[in-house]
Amino acid sequence: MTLSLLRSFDARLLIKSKGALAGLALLVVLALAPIFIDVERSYAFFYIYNILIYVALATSWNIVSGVTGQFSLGHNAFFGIGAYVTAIAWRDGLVGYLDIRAFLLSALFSATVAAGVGYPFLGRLRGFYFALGTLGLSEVLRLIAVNGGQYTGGAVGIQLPSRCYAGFLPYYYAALILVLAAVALAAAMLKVRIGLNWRAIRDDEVAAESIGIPTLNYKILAFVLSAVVPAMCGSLWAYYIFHVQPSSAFGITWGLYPVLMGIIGGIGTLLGPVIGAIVIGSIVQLTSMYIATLHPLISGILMIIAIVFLPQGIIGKVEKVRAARRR
Amino acid sequence: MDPTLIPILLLYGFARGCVYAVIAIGLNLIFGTMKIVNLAHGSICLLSAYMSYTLFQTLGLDPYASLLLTLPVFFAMGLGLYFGIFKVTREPNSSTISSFGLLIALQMIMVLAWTANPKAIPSQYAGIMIPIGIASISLARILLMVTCLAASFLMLLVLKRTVFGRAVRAISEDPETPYLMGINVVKVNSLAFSLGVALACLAGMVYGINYSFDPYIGLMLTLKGFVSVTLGGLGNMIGSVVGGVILGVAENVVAYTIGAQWSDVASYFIFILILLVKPTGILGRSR
Repeated sequence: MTLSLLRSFDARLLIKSKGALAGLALLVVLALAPIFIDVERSYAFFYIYNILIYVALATSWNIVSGVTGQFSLGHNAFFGIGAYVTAIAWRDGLVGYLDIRAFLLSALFSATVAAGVGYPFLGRLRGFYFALGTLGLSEVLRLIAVNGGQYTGGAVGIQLPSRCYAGFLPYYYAALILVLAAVALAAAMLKVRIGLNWRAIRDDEVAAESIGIPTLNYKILAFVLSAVVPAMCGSLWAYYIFHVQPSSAFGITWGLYPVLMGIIGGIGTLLGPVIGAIVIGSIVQLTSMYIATLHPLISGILMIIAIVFLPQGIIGKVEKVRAARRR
Repeated sequence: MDPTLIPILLLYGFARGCVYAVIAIGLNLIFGTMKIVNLAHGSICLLSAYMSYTLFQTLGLDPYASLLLTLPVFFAMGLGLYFGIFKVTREPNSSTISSFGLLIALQMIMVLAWTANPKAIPSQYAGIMIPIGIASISLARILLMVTCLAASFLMLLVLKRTVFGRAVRAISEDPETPYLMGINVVKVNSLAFSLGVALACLAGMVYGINYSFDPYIGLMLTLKGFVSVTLGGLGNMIGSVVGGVILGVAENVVAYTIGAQWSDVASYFIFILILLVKPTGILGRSR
């Protein structure tokens, strides 16, 4: 336990000094880019937008699964909740187009579900069972959306007024804000005592409990916090796609891709999911652009290759190389 | 509800449950020894169904006869997957993710090769109806039950009686100690994995004769398998069979009484309920 704590401390310092600066610089560049390049005409921005969403999702997933060690396979549940809450609220006239209240409502709803589900799930289920439970949760929610009749629009889903579309720029900035929110939240949590307690729970739950950490409360906190940003991503997605449908809103793209990105990048670290999201997000998008018919096949195979050759993730590999060089 | 329909309802549910049982045994075997959540298991079933479909369409080969071809192929594929991927990834999380990659790749291969339209293996068995009471059941369903139960029974026997079975149980119980006992863990694991894949092949073929399928239901089949595993208790093979049958019956009863579209919701609901009330399953030992 101490060994892995030391290791994560090491990674934290690394991120604190150079990583945070580099990350901020990158964000500023991305935020200023639309001044020089026309967002509406450039595919690059859509590409970056997708990557940003993946970064936000993978970073959020990492809070509960990477840092706290509660492996969730059903984070698409929260994405779907965000999408549906937004679509229903907008259809019923409670919120408007790209309304901040819709994002907050989605986040609140998602956090409530996470807290409600988290209490029994995290209290009773360990490891593999928790993973299966979350997978089941997302399936149940998807099926409820399919069978919701008039209220959720059934299998066809909810059509939203696409005439509202006001250019791509607001989406781009919204995604930037979501990434900033997700990464800042994760970074802040890792710096304070909460993050230490989470890692203690991941490394040895019984030991953590015995030194007086209320493990259940901390696990629920991690689950709730990790559910907030994905719901907002779902909200943004609903505003972008204008057609919320069960199979796409609760699609495995939003649940299992972040898991993959987190693992490829390096779970438990701040930088890992970001790098993983950039790498895998790029692979997925480039293959879908150039070899559209084969794209899932290539992404699937690349995933396997990446896992076979980088079992500890990119961050783990980099640290290993560094350690070897130091010696 | 007409009370005379109840036995029919249970019988059809039982038939569906038998397929789940075979899928569940395969998953249980793979999870028990290697702790891999094989997300691609259902897609492997579908691949087998598609292969039997093509063999029937092109060569007119009976689906049951096609097993003679597909079973060795799938067994070999299992060995290939184990040594190519899962032996290397080892760590459970990584293995789960590589099985997800496999799921996506297989799904795409099936879409490319057979399109996304739903299909069913057109065999003569589905047409032969055997009357029982006021209703009837197709020969295909009866063959399904016989095949699945026989396969399950055989697997249980293998695990109970053979040296290989004892080694599998030892590894499931404690993955470290068998090394000290002179058990060739790699050999046992590779065999267990391939047997799991072969069981998926069998399950896929009988599923394809009786129900329609498309490339996208793979994850659903995997989940149903895991629901059955959890219902019966992880690591408990008899439990997997019992869990599968309970799930199949429950689905059919819900489909008849509430509506077919709710049967999947019901199965996941049972799953979550079991996880919360007794995670070790109805036949599992409590820890």
